[in-house]
Amino acid sequence: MSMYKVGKGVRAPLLLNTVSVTLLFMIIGLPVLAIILFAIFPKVNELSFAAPFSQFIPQLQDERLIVATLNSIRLALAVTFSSMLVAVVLAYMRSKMAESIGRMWDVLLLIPFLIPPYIGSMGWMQLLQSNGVLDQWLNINLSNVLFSFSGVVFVITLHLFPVIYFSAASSFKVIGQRYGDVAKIYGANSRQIFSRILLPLIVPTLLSTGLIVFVLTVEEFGTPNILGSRFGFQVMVTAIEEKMSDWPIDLSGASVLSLLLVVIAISAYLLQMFITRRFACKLDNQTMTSVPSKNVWFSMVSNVIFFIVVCLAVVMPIFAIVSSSLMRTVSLGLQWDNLTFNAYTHLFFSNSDALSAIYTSLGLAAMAAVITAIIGMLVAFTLIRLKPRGKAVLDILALLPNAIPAMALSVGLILTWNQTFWPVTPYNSLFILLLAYVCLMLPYPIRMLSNAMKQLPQSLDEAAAIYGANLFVLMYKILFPLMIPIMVASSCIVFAISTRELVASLMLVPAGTETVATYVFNQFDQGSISSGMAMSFIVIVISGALIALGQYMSKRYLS
Amino acid sequence: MNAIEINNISKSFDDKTVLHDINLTVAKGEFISLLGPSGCGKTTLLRIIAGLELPDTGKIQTPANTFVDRATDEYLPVAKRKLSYVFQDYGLWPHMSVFDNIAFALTLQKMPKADIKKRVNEVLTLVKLVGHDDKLPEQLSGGQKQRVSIARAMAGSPDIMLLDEPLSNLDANLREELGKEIRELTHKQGITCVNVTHDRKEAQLLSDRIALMKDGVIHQLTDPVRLFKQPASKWACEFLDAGNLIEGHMIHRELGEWLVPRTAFKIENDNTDTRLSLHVDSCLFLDDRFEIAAWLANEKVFFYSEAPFDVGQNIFASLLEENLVSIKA
Repeated sequence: MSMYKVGKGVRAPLLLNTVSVTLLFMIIGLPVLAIILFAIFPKVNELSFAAPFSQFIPQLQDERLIVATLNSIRLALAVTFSSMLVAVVLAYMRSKMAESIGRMWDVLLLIPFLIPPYIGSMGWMQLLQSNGVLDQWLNINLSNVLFSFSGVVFVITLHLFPVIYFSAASSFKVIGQRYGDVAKIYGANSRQIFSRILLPLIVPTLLSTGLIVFVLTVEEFGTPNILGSRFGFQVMVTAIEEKMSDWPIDLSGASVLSLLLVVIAISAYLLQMFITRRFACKLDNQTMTSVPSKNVWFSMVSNVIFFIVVCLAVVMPIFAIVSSSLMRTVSLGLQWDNLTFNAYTHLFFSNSDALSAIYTSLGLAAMAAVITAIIGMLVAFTLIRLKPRGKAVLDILALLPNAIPAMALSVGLILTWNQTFWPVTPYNSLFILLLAYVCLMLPYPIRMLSNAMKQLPQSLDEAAAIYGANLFVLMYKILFPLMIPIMVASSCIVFAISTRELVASLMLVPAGTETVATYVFNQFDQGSISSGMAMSFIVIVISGALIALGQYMSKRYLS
Repeated sequence: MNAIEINNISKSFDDKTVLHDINLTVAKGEFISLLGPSGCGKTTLLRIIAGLELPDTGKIQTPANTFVDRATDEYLPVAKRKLSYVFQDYGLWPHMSVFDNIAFALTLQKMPKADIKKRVNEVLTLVKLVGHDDKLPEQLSGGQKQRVSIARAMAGSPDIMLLDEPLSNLDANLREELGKEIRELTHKQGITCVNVTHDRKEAQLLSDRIALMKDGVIHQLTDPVRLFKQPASKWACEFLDAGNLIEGHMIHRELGEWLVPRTAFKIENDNTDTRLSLHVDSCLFLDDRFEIAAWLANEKVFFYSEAPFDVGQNIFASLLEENLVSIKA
């Protein structure tokens, strides 16, 4: 709209665009650039462009790297397919279910999102390993199953399948009834309905959410690290971590691997965007809700299957977390006189490490929440309203964080800021963690605020200008009051996810400091299971409540 | 003195010319409508007057200000033009009450609170919404929202009011009622109005003059009666739905096309050489008279009649001479 940019002396769009681009470049552009530079020029930290690509080929021929890369892809494919399978079966049954029961299952299936996979993996270990709960109670030792490729696939799938389930369920619901009925009226049989109506409408959804699951699995560090390390299974992310933490530190190796990781993630992400743009069609507003199946057997079987899935994805991990947080001694197992709240009281009253980890995480998360909301607002306003010339750069920078795995970002941040030529650097302070959280969380506020801004009619801005408002008045009297609920909603989500973020925390936390996630991780490593699990449970409850609040606020606002 | 002088305004978006050398003067207190099909540039012209878009060439002046002059690179920002604008989608701020919406401009002008209250009440009385001040826009019906939008537009006692399809989101009955009110209010207050519409009835209802626009140029500029009685071209006849277009030889006249309005048919009882012989195809009762569709040889014609006819009936008609217009190709 030229309204914002016409007139002498009106430089605001240009200014805001420059500020947004600069900010995003500092946050996300620099680390990505650093990865690329280091991968190509191994001596770039000495400001030398000598021996370009000298590390590239040897690294790519390193057998362990090839194995790790193939493992990552194999794992991601397996998780994607198993998630699709579970999700499609459930979504199909959900479309034929009475709304009241279906809603209950939907709410329960949101819970896996709240259990970070590294905590889920720890929970499953408590249940299935030798001398775990199952072994003690039923004499079943499933540690061989858990510490295997299938075990890793199983645990990650249980965390990620809801991503596919929810979008598949909504498309099944729409197409299951009405479009099928219309096709029936025009003479289609059920095979034709399936192949001509159902498949074309649902396959793009499945593919695009499947690709999201693929990327999330490739990025996943906690599960492969916790379970995989026990049977020598290494993926790209764990290999990078090893290169960065084991002496001698292999910076260029880590950067080559990170570059590879980024390329895989971005390709999958671009493919996902392409599929969505090319094939997704807007369905008209649904006037008819789907009719529940009247077949008693079918609905019984459906509910039993949902029950089993919810047990595996929700009840068991939470049971494991809660029960092991309450155990006085793990080896004594789950017996009444072995239960105590000591771990919880200990966390808050006598363990200064735990308390300071909580304070650190809460403080960082709160700052990340506020900063991302402000940057998100700035970027959304620039992209949606000002549409300045050269907004393509900002567009790309705003999309980039979606596709950058936390591990790659951490490597990039280290490569960027652990250099002698900076006069000041956030490296080795909490600011670098803040930087990482802000970058990782930016996609949420940018997406939420841009969507909300798109829904506000342009005429609101124009009316403000007509009746005498300048850009500043427009911002603070019209746009901010209208966007505040969405800013708060996105802040809740950012806060919740930041408090439990593992990868960047492990990689970037300054020596002697801990966050909630590193605390949990280290406690588990050192065998203080109950203390780590108590902390996990608190984090899950707090972040769950906050995410629920955020979702509620944005939904209420958008209706 | 003219209230708005528009000279040589041109505008293109991405190589597509939307406005081509527009010249138009609007007299003080006049209500003028820019009428045309979508894509004719009418809305762009309105937005250029408001300052929401910048023209590529040309100049717009009011007695007090130069709004824009590309030759000298003068530009008065939107906020300083002291205009008012009625939006198609109302453009009411959803988080502000009716009162706050109307008082917005007055508050920015730092008018004393008591005066603001008085003025808001005055305009609410004008648009018949007294007592609704505390409501949020979402609590109002479409017609009420547009009334608030009009009240907001009148609150600052503007000289010029711009209206972008103000009635098109309302249902038919309300459209006519509110249209009449807008006309009366703006006339009484002496506000100069530029209105944009694609609906000829809306233009008829509101305007002193109508600028019929086509492909970025003003096709015809005149008062509503003349525009509908004497459209300048075949295209104008068709767009305005002014009547039947019939070849001269079919109605015993010189060659070329003729506009024969639906009111120009007079039914006769006898058949002579000059009569038209019509074969009735359909007969509909609309408003308070019948609309007859009939075949004149192989041409379908429409006309109004006080009395109904049977489908398939053959009738004879003469034409009222003074209503016929010869249309240039």
